[in-house]
Amino acid sequence: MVKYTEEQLIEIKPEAYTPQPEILDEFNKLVESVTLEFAEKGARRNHNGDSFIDEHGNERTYNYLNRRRGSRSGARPLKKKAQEVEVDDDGWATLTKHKKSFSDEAVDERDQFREAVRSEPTKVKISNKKMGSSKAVDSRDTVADKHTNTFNAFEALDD
Amino acid sequence: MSEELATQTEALSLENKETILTTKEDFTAKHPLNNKWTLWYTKPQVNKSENWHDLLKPVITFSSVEEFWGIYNSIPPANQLPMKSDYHLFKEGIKPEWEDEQNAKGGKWQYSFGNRREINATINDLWLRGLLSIIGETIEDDEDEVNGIVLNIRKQVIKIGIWTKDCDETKLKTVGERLKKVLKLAEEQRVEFTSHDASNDKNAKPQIVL
Repeated sequence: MVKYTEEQLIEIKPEAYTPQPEILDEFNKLVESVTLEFAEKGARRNHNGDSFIDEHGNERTYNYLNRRRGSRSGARPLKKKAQEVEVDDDGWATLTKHKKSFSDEAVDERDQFREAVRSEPTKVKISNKKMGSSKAVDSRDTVADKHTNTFNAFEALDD
Repeated sequence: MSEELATQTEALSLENKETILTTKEDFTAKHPLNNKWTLWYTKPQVNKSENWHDLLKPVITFSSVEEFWGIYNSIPPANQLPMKSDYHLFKEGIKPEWEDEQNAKGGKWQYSFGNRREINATINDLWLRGLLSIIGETIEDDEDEVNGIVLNIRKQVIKIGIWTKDCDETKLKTVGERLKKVLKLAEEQRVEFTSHDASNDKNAKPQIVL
């Protein structure tokens, strides 16, 4: 049984002979076509196939606009606690709601506050500044609505 | 007398006899290998209609060291293969599939290189060392356990595995130990042997770890 060590095999490297080069050419073409296809697929995924012509007349893709959030952002979604099952003396299993983070005292306080708020009607002051729109109020409307007490000299003379 | 001599020397005639110089292939095969080897390639799936059998293709068969180098120099190196590609080098007549009669009762010694950036620089050398140990048959003594070697290119890892005929631990340890040397692995880097039967089960533990 003939065995060749790594060194012996490497020594023979300069005597390389390529059998059926046409088959190897075909094989190389196959690998190249797969590589190209993958590259195109990757590019398509990045820019959805959309492109535009820039100021120099070159076709460019929108790949910088369609970036998705990285899957490894570091923020992990909070896991919802599984509902606990309580089994009573008769063997009935019931799903129990998990406890909120606040205690019973806090619940009472919250209820009292809610009750207090419900009984007292609250006065709401509306301020233009705090309204949703940040647009300034039309100054002509302000003048029209304004109630003014002005001194009328003629009316005063009548008295 | 002359007729008698002619009949006696007929067998020595050089006419119509093939010699090692007859064909170009034979002439170049100065260093024949023990076995004929076939290079296979698994093409990555480009569209979903392609199944495993369409993707696995035999590329070429060779039987000498010279031919091996000719082929090796003409095909893409390991680090230039597209993702999800595999190279397989198997003894002629053995398909790189679990279902093949020669593989059915066997398994594989395997190591996964996790750090893609790091391994990209050295994978060509390691894969070549693996190939040389297979065709030179120094990966084992006289056990005749090895059927072939496989390279898997994946997104996260690159794997090199040696496929064996059976799962007899006593015969397989040599192969595992030598694979570790071939792949230049440190003592704490473990190669694992898993039978093809167990490979179906994702939770199966390797049969041997070295």
